[in-house]
Amino acid sequence: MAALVKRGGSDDIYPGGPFFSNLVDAGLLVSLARTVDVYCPPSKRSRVTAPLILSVGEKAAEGKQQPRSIDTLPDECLFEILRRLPGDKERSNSACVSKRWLMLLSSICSSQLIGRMKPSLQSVNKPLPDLNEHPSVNDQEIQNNGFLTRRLEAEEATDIRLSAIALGTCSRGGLGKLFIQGNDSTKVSDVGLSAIAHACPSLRALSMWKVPLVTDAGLQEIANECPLLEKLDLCHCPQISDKGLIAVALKCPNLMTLTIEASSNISNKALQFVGRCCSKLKYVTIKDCPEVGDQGIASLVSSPSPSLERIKLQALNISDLALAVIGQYGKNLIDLSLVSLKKVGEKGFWVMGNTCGLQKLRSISITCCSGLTDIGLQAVAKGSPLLKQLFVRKSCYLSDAGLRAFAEKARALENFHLENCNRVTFLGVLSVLSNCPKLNSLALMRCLGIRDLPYAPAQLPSCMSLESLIIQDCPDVTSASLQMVGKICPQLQKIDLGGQAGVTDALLIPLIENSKVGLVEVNLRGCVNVTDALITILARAHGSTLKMLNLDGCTKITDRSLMAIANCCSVLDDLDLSGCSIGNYGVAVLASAKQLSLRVLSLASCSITTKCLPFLANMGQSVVGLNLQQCRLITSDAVAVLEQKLWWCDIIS
Amino acid sequence: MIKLVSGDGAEFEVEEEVAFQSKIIKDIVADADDVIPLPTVSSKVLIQVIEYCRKHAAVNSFPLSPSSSAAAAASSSSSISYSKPVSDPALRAWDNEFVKLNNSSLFDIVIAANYLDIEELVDLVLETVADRIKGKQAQEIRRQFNIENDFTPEEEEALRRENSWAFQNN
Repeated sequence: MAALVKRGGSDDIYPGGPFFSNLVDAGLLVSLARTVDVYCPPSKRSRVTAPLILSVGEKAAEGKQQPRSIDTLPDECLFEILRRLPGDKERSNSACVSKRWLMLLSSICSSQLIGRMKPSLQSVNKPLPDLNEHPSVNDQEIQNNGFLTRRLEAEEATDIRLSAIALGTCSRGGLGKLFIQGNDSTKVSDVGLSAIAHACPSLRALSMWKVPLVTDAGLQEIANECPLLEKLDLCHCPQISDKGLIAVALKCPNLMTLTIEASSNISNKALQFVGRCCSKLKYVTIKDCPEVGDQGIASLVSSPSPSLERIKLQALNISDLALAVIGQYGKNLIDLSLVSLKKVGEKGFWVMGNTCGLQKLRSISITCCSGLTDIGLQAVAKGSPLLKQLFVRKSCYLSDAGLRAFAEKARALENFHLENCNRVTFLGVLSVLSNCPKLNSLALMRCLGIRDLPYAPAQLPSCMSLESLIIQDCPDVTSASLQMVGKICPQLQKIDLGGQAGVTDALLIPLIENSKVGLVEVNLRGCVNVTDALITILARAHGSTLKMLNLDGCTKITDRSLMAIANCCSVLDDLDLSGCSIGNYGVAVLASAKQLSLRVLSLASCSITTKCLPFLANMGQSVVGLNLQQCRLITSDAVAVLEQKLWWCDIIS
Repeated sequence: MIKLVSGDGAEFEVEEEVAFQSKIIKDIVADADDVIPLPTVSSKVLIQVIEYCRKHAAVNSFPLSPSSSAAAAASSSSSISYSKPVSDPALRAWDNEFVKLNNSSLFDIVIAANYLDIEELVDLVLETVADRIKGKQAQEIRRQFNIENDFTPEEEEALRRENSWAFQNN
């Protein structure tokens, strides 16, 4: 506390006049001495003899008469004063005095509060609770349950704001979740984070994204003071290293969700602690961490009580070994996602599947892993008989043979998603359709190898379970394939052909007519060749079931389609007509259709004018979203009037 | 006797038990001589501090009478709370008179007591300052203690929003 400053220098520089009548500077001296920790053990003669002090003395002579302000008290004294304020309300009030007060107040641990140490006294003085008051206020002063959530973005994220949150929330149920979404210039530092740590022992979730100044010290404070922490996200926090994460692993046994992204200072060592200490860990995401290798993943997965259910590994320097360990120990793993693992080879996938440890795996997603080959995928199916979802993206080796071998094993598959896999052809897809009796959803995106077969297979399989078909941006899928799919899958309810410019009315009509149960969702975004004739058939055939229709960019669609929709569709709730060649008349008819109760309507980039707005205004309570972007013929004044009338509706223009 | 020299050169002779209320003086005297310069303490403040130490040294050197300790126990629920309560009611009353000073003088004593490490005095004056803050709005506190508001309007707004509950019913 008190410090005697002794410097060795010249002898007896000892001003005779009023040395420290200026109290500001005296305060400065004490403060300074304390912060730089110049404390010399008392020796024969202790005195202040330093040039600094001399100059202070001169200054003191000038401004002698100034009264001392409370701001000249050293931090420790002001801290002691503020610590004595009774009740959270007093502290919150005082926090608004100045930055220094706020910072000091927020650095007080709840255990250091003098008011808190005498609960009996407080309760005696407390008036009877007013029953008309918000009922929870009084309870929350006692209990710190962590109900509150705070999200800070970019400029909002400052130490001042964090301190304010720390003070403000601690008495109202306590902060439970804190999300900081910063950017490169985010100023949040350990000071703010410590304030949160001290005031919010109830913190359960902490997410920090791009918080460049926070270091291990800040995270250690959190670890020490917030033992209930369940979720931790550290994304782009360059100063946080193993030290901080190890503190969390040791002090927060409830940790359930851990995300680490772009942290070059976090290595295998920290993950070993996490694996050993966090026995409740369920969800782990590790992305872009160059120091994390096989050993780290192995110790995470092979912890004595395997609780991990979901793992996502992206862009890591891990090899076949990591996958082998996952295959061996991931007994409770339900969801596995592997992205951009350049060093993992065919052997890794083969071992992972053949060790047969992933018995509970329901979903696997493999993106941009060159090691995924036909043999690897087959092994995955073999090792995980309950697999329901397969997502493969950007695999350049996977071919029809692999898909067939996989499909023969994966009898439980419900959801199959293939993206950017150019070696796969329609035959491979057919083998999945015919072998997986529970297949519910099939998605093919940007697969250049999928094209119409030159011949029709002699015997077509049938897939009664498929309800959802998505074929997007596969330029070579046109007539024959779609007709075939229509025949194979009579139970289709959802068709998404976004970006299939080659699709024409003639191709789609059989698909529509083959559907036995009624289509529910139809997405024809960017199918520029689709005309009113098709929409009329669709509306007539499926008007009683169709809920969502997307005709974004279908330039041949005109008012005729809208009339058909208005006449035939009864349950439609989401209609996208962006960029269609529709006019006021069609919109008026649509908006006036009695049986329709659209929830979301998009008319972006349509050449409609202000004239149709009165009709839109009469659409009624059902509409909650209206998109009028890029409608150049509609004035903003008119939109304002519409907004007034449809005040419950979210209108973007 | 120990000689204390204030920042403005005035010398004060005090008895050991009075001076030893200050831990720092006690430490110095333990292995140094008896003239102790206190450059950061003005004579005005030093007089007040010595007065306090003299009073407390006198009271502390006598054991408490049973009646006064009972009285102290009875009055322990008073609003002033010491971390180490001064139990003698007479001394307490004296203390209460002692701190009837303006803010500026009080802060002088805070600094000096903190510097000299006189625990009871530090407690007394800090508690007194805290009492003067209690029950006031930020604006009043700033005015009373001559503090500059260094928040930007946006910061203050965010702060008030976060703490809005504290301003209700006021």
